[in-house]
Amino acid sequence: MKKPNRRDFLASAGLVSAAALTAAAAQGQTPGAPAGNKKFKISLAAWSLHRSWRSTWFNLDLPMIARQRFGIDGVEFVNSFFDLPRSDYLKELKKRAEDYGVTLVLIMVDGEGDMSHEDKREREQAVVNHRKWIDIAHFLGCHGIRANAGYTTVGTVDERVQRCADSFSKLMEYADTAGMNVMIENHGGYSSIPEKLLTVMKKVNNPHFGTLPDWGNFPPEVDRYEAIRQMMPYAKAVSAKCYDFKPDGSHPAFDIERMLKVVLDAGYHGFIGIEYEGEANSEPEGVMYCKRILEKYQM
Amino acid sequence: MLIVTRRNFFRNALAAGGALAALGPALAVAQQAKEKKFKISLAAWSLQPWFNKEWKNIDLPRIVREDFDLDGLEFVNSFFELPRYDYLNDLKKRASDYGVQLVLIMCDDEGDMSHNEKRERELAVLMHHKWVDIAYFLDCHAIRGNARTNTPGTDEERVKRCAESYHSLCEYADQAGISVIVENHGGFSSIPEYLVSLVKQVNHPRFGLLPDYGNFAQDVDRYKALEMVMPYARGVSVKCTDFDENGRHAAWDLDRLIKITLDSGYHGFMGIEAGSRNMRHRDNVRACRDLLRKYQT
Repeated sequence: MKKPNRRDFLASAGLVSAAALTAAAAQGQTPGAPAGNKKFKISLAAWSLHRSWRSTWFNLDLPMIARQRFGIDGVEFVNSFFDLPRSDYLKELKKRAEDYGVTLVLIMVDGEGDMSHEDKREREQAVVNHRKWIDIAHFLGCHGIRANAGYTTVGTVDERVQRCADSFSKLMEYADTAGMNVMIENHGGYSSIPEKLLTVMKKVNNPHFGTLPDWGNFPPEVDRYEAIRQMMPYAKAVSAKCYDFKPDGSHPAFDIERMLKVVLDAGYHGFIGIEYEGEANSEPEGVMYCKRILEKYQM
Repeated sequence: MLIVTRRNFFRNALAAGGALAALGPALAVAQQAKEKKFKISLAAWSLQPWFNKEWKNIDLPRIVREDFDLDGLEFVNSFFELPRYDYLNDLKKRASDYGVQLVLIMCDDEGDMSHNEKRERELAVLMHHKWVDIAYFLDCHAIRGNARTNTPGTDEERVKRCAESYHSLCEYADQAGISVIVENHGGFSSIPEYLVSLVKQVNHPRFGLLPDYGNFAQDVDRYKALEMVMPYARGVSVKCTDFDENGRHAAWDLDRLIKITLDSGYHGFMGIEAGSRNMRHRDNVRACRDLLRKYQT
């Protein structure tokens, strides 16, 4: 064995960094908190602009884009769009967010390993891989990160759910030291089946662990309105996934206004992140179509 | 005490090589190393002027093997692409395919470990955590941090602040079995007495030094300085500039520095850090390698 006991590494890492994290001053937001005189706040999910990443914008530009291009108050990052997240870079990103008066809401984390993997070492590695994004989210003043439930198809769904819950319980030990939230999105596989996702929630049973309901991302047989309703009690963020808009602003894929009502009826008042994923409209057009609908319900 | 630690570490490193050996080319590397007094690695910084032009970080294992036929690689964090798991897996696989040991990661621009404000120091420690995690996954034995600071205070005060930061970082790194090393790299860190004082004040088995043959302050005798710091070394940067046509190094006596290194009982990787402004960088690396090889057996 080259390395010392991995379990110790995982288990005690949170304890060691607790002091540093606490001292680094938590300025994180409270998800679901009232949005002033508005019923909720609107943020821009970076994924809305994924087609033009690197051709017209970089991650550092997002605070400016949110404010100046869209008049939006928050940004939801995707880790994949970051440049190398060294200290100087993160300080610059944070400064720009302050300059433009934009809240950095959360970081969606992809490509950091499989939290449900059948191999325990792979799961433990995935937990370690996610830690840096918790540190980064904390530094940027985000309230949390969105991770994935896992992709593996080995084992029954219930076995995968159990492995997933074990991994996230470990990750929460680290996240708790920073008061950071960790969310799972309905994002394919069993994570898009609400009953299974809720089972993970119950097994992990941590107030900082929750869901990020995405209005898309359900298989055809799932009733998306009912599914979102089920996920909302655990929601710490919401992705207003939307697809092609008609020129009159209508959204044929599903009823955005009905979905919004489900979210607000659940008592949610935090950020709702616009995540345009259509093809008929340009990315900025898609974002603005969605924003106009959301704004009708903000007051 | 520190020497014992270093020996333990070296044995562990060989064991890791043994595990790799099952995959093929690394077997030869491990066996060779037993006969040689030390192994030679390439510090990525040697190729810095051509970064993003001729090469990216992911190309380094291939370059180390195919262009230089060396056995180890020393990263610089700044050259990494976004270090997601997919990327790191690819990097690790390439190192294994080319039989190249990933030795350490030199970390820059992650905050000021000697800052006069405690909050800034704590942030810097935290920013280094990810490199510990990455080093752990890549089977590196260490990360190299910095010590210099422009913030107020005497050098003694800076050393004390720096020592606190590194002790805290070592507590984290210890859980991953990763060493944390500081280089003579500007400011007080280029004065050997302060480096030794830093080691003593950090007072942690995971902490050590990365002596660089260049980088000493102008009025410091580099040979005496190297003797002073070698007992704490967990890596060595063979900084070099121009070589003449006979393979001799003009700016300082490389042969003498190599002898001092070996006389101290050091048998780990010697990392080539070529910095000539006149030679082609690949020729510069090869000239340094050829000189080192004379001392390997």
